[in-house]
Amino acid sequence: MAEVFRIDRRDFLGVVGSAAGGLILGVHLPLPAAPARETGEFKPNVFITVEPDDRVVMYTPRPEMGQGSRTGLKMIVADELEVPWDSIEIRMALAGPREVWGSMTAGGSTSIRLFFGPLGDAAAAAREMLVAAAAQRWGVPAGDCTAQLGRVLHEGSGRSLRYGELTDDAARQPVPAHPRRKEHSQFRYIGKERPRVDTPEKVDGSAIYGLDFRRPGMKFAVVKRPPVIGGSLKGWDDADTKTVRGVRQVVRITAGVAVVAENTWAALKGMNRLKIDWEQGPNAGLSSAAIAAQLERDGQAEPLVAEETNNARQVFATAARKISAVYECPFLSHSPLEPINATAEVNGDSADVWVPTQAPQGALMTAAQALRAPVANIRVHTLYSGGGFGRRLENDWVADAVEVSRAIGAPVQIMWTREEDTTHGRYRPISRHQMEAAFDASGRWVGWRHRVIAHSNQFASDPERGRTQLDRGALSGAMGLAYKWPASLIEWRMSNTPLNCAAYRSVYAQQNCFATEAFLDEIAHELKRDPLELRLELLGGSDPRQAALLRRVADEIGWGRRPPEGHGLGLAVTYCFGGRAAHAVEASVDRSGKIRVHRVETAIDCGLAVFPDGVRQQAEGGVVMAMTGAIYSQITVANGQVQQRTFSDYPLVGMDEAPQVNVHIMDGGDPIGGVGEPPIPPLAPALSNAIFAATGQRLRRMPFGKVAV
Amino acid sequence: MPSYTITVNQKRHTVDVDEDTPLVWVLRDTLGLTGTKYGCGVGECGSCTVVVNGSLARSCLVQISAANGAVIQTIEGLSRDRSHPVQQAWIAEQVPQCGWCQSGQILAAVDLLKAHAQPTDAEIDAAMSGYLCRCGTQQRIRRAIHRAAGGAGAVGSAGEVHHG
Repeated sequence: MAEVFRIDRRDFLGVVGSAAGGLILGVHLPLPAAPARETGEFKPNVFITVEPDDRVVMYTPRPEMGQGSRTGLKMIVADELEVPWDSIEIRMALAGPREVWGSMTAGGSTSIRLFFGPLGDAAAAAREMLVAAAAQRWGVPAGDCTAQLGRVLHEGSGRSLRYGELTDDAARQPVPAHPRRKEHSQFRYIGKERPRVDTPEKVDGSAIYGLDFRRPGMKFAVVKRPPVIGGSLKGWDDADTKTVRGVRQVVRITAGVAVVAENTWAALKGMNRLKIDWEQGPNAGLSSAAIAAQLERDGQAEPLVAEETNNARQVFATAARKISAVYECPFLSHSPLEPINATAEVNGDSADVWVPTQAPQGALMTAAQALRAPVANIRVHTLYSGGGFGRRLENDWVADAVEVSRAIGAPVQIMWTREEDTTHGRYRPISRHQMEAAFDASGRWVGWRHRVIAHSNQFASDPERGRTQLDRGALSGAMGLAYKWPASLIEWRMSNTPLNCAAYRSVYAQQNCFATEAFLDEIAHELKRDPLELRLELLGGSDPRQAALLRRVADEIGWGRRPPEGHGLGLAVTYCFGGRAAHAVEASVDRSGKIRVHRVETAIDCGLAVFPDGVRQQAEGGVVMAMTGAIYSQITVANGQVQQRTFSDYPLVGMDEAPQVNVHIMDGGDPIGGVGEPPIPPLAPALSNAIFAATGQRLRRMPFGKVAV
Repeated sequence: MPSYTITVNQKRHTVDVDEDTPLVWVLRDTLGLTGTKYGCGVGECGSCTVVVNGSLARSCLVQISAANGAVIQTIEGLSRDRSHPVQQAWIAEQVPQCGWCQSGQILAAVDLLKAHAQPTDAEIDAAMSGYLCRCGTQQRIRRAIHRAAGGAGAVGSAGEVHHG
């Protein structure tokens, strides 16, 4: 249960840094990272203010990177506060400590599902306080008064007051412990069609993203990190760099070197002319072939058992027949279209940082460490991100900006080029999936085995623990599934690499879902069973919501019909990040071996869809992003260096390949689930299954590339 | 010191920059028109697209010396108030997610509609495939182009588009 607080104006100023009047409420989310009011001070995560001029300002801790949650959060407040849509302005809060704000991180598909309860409670509490204030002024029971679009009405007398006329009195009312929430049938905005709050400024060029931010006197810098993973900077010769007009300084930073100039072009040109001497470090011989061999070797080593049911090891030991297959997933780069950037202005031992980030608190910590100053001295202003997908959770680049600004004594914006972004990403981990199915003498399927061999995000810096402990995140989508396997053995073997890896939209769920849902298709084929029927049977009564999604996409795609010559149908389902999604795909392979996706039917169940069009956007976009990953994307390494540079060697699915995606939202009930990530995992297996149906070829290794025909 | 004159969104500017400065940085850094986005710097993504003397150009590949005297339109110059039919269609179809690529997408769509008042899906594919979108807004871009062409409703949200 969230706690809602009345906020003293002085406290509010201290945390938000701007003035407000009237009624100010804060809400404290019951997050593990944000312990309750131990010290008796206010520890709200979100603020809602109702000002005397009727304006409502909502300070949100959650960044907007394109996922649309800002619009969904506004719907929650507008509905429960019962105000006109346009009266609410949303402002991004300054990054603050976790003890105050809880998690400000836009990750894990959490923004709506985590905030629906507490944010709605805060808005509903404010509404009740406004109603109570009006009732008091009129000397009537509060129960005779209602709130409607920014006014309180007294039905008996026909009197009404604007919220703005009531703010001071409302601020003196007790904060209701259990404010009454609207019934779903009373929703004015939630679950309804509404345009996004950020669309207008994204169609006329006026939206200010990180790279668009400007400060008076600001310099522009580009940075370069060691080309070899784990390498370091020895030194440089900047004689040619200094001849570039506009170049001001070359600065050594912890991560490498920065060229500072009066404009971006001078910085880029100066960097191109900089003769840099790099120390190659221990990974100069690293190659993708060696990494694949390591994963293969680790696949033969003794794994940790993550899950075993029905005495599976015994089942496999005594099986009459087994089939096996290896599925492989490469490193991926997030490649958001806005390159990595940050602006910093250091003044002595304090700093302001303006950054497009998914994790403002991470940026705060990184900046404080870079400046060796307390977090209280740092102000992090979060700007729009031109995409994130997990890359902007890391904040590794924030230190670049702080270090350069400190060195030159001026505000500076650092930018990574596309090449720098592609070659110095925090990659989606590589993984190998050894799948096995056991059958008894009568041909009955009796065992399921999935051994996950992967680079571990959790234990990358602590491999000793990783040898004895499961990385449960890395097993998402492999263990604990709703499928009732006849007997199951899920195994884990860490296989760390020198690459910097991190979360990529849906994290490990997609690799594990790919292996699971495609190998399940192999078993169906082996058993001569319909893949849909087999899935429904395995789901049994354990998750009717996934079963409903599968049935829906099967109906929509026309499962069971005979597709046009050369076309095939495939489907897959997932439950991850609290949400469920299924895809049915119709695909073919053309004469050149190119995969064509003709249509995707998508069903998503996130419980109540607060912002339905936002859900559709995430599903449509998730399909395209996952298609790019399935068909094209891979980061490879040679001589210790990432080989891909730009979009010519790290291509994205374009308009001519993007399929029609029809999204069906199915509300299977509480609780509200994640939306951003669930549409990713089932796409690659549904596509692999469709290509098998079309051609008889089983695609087990991503990227699929061209298919031999 | 080299000096170049360009007319951007009907306003004349004289800029003192190196002759090899790509137009994208003149627009963004010198003139403060940040609606034009940098995405790759090598002409592969289309985010920096502007109109130079009536034709689409990737401003990361156009050196200022080649643009001297040119008449340039950027996203900021498409309309004063988002009233251009393509902007209106983009709003109606709720196209943008992160939005970084959309300035280029919109200007490319405007150009397409000049050449083909009622573009087919194949014409949309041909004209728009070089404009990358990482968020995956392609099907909404397609719908918005049809809508701007006056074909709103021709392709409904659940309608099937056959192409490829």
